[in-house]
Amino acid sequence: MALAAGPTDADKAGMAADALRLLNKADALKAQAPSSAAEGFLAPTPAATIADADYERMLRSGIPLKGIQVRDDVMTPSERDPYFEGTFKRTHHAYRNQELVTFDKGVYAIPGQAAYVGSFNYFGAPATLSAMGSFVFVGKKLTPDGKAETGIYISEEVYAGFAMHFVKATPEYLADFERRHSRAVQAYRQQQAEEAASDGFDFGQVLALGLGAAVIGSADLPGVDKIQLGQAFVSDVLGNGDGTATMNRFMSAMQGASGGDSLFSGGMDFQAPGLNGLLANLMPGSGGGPADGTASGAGAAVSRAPAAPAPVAAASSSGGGAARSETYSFSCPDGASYSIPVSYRNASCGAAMKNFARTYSCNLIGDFASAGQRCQQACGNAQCAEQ
Amino acid sequence: MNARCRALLACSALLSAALVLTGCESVGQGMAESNMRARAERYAAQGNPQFSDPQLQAVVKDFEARYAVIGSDVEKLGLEQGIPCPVSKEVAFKILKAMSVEDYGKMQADVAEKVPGYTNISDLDSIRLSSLSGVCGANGPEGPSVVVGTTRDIMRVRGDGYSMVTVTDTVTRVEGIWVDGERQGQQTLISISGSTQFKETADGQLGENIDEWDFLNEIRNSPTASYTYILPKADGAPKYIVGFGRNHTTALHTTSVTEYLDAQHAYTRIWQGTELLQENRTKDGRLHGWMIMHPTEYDGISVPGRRDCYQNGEQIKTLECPPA
Repeated sequence: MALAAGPTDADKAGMAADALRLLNKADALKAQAPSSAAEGFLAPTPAATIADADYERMLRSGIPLKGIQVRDDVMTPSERDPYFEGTFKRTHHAYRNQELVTFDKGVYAIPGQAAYVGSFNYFGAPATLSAMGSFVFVGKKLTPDGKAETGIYISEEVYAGFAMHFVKATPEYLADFERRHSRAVQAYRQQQAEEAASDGFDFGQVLALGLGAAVIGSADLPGVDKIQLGQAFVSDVLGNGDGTATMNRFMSAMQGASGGDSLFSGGMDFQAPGLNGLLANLMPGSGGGPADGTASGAGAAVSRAPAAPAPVAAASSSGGGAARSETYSFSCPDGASYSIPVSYRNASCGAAMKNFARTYSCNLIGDFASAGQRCQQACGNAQCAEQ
Repeated sequence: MNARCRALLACSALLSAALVLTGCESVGQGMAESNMRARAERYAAQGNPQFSDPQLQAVVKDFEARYAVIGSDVEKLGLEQGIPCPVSKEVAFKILKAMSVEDYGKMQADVAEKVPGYTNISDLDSIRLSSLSGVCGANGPEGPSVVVGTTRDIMRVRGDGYSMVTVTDTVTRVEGIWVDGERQGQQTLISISGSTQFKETADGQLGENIDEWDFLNEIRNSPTASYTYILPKADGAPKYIVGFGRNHTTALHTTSVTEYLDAQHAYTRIWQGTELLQENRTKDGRLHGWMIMHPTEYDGISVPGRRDCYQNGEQIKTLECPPA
């Protein structure tokens, strides 16, 4: 008994012996039991393939960098530490006014728990916390139960080198994050400018970024997922009057993004255990991904499907009915031209989706309401997300 | 564990390393100890939150009276004065833990799946159950009864370069009315736990984990008392669950009140001393709505308040957070 007057040394010896016996028994039982899908999910953590010298080389020379970075989780055995695998990019740290190397496209894997596959954007924190910043992720979250959810996730106040905890964010929160970040950077830079001569940094670069539109529009996601996220974003920020401009930025950012080398069309070969199979299962025509974005059997998939170009105007079979994907090109009254990937199952919904995209891209304010109504009638959703 | 906790751990590790390097470790430890003791005194001096609801206020008064007598002294729960109940280990487990051995095993397996390196098992051989009043047969108590019993939990946490095993013995006294083996109506549970921590040695054995910092050993060995009151509605379903946590060494001085609004929804408030620290809402047992952390002061540092949105147990970064 560890209570009362406190256990004697003999009590403790007995306690330790009993505990060890029971733990060994539990370990033996666990070893005999079939391993769960979660246990082997993206585990074990692969070895890091990138050293500090590689980041410095990229900063100096701009040589593209791709590989694995392992981040430390002090509460986790090292063989299950989280890791990022993918490409890196140079990012401007607004507070330090210098370039950093941060995640670009790939996977952030938490073995046994989740994989975030898509695009990453880093936002540095004030100079007093130079090792801290926030990551905004746009893409798909895969979990051991086989689900794949498209969305925006954010990990705020992250220390360099340590594990990140991503939390799902609504488009309105992302817009608010952008405003807060811009205001804070502007205030900081103005304070700096008062203390020293201006170094030529343009505040407008930050404020005009259109963070939400940019990160969603440039995300490495299938076109239909991206346009639905973008529509949700526009819908949520319309109330403050900048929705149209935001949609235009979104459409601009979308052009040229997510081509045939997309993460979701076999464009990247991963060392992360099992990830190639999981992604192959999500590819159109694989039969592994139902229409609602939920992948089935992901935990069991091990083979890698061959890389395939993004389908253009080609019908493909997907759980729940034939989906049609195409690139919709159009011009606006002001002469601007856009090409947007759209995907739909129902032809009338597809037509409404194109109308919706053109109306917002071209800033046809008078047609916003009717475009939404047409989406509602044809797709059952005011943003043309097929129900 | 969320990012904030990880960051704090990282900072603590860096601080510890810095203190060692500068030879200031004992100074830092002394500050940490004096801060925690001052915090404990501050909360104890505040007393407990008081309520206008007569039911809740009666609970506070009952707790204050009992705590004045029992406190965190396990001897005063009456284990040695009881008459052994002729029940199986499994029945005793359910009476003391309010769940079956199987459900407890599943719950711990779920946690282990989410937390790498975590194992928790209950030692059924350590269970005892005695009756202090009322009838206690092969199926456990029947009718108005008071029983007291012991349980032992073994938790192992393996992390980056360490493996700790904590053995926790708990004595629980349960007062209530049992009908056909199920506890019903108003109930009072008092649990007092004490732990011993071991570390796994290189040869796979367990050795007691004794730190050079005495205060850390004091924390590990200090008993934690938990007083819980379940107040039912007219239909027997819980109306309030009120909990008091006490460990003076660790400055634990909490009061929690969970109000069951309907069959699905509940609203919980948590105080330290008389300072309201947290409010949250749940739907079907999962966090749902804003979880509010109120501003507080921690060792002379103002900690700003914050709120996090949860929907069906999942945290969401959002500006609007529907409560239902």
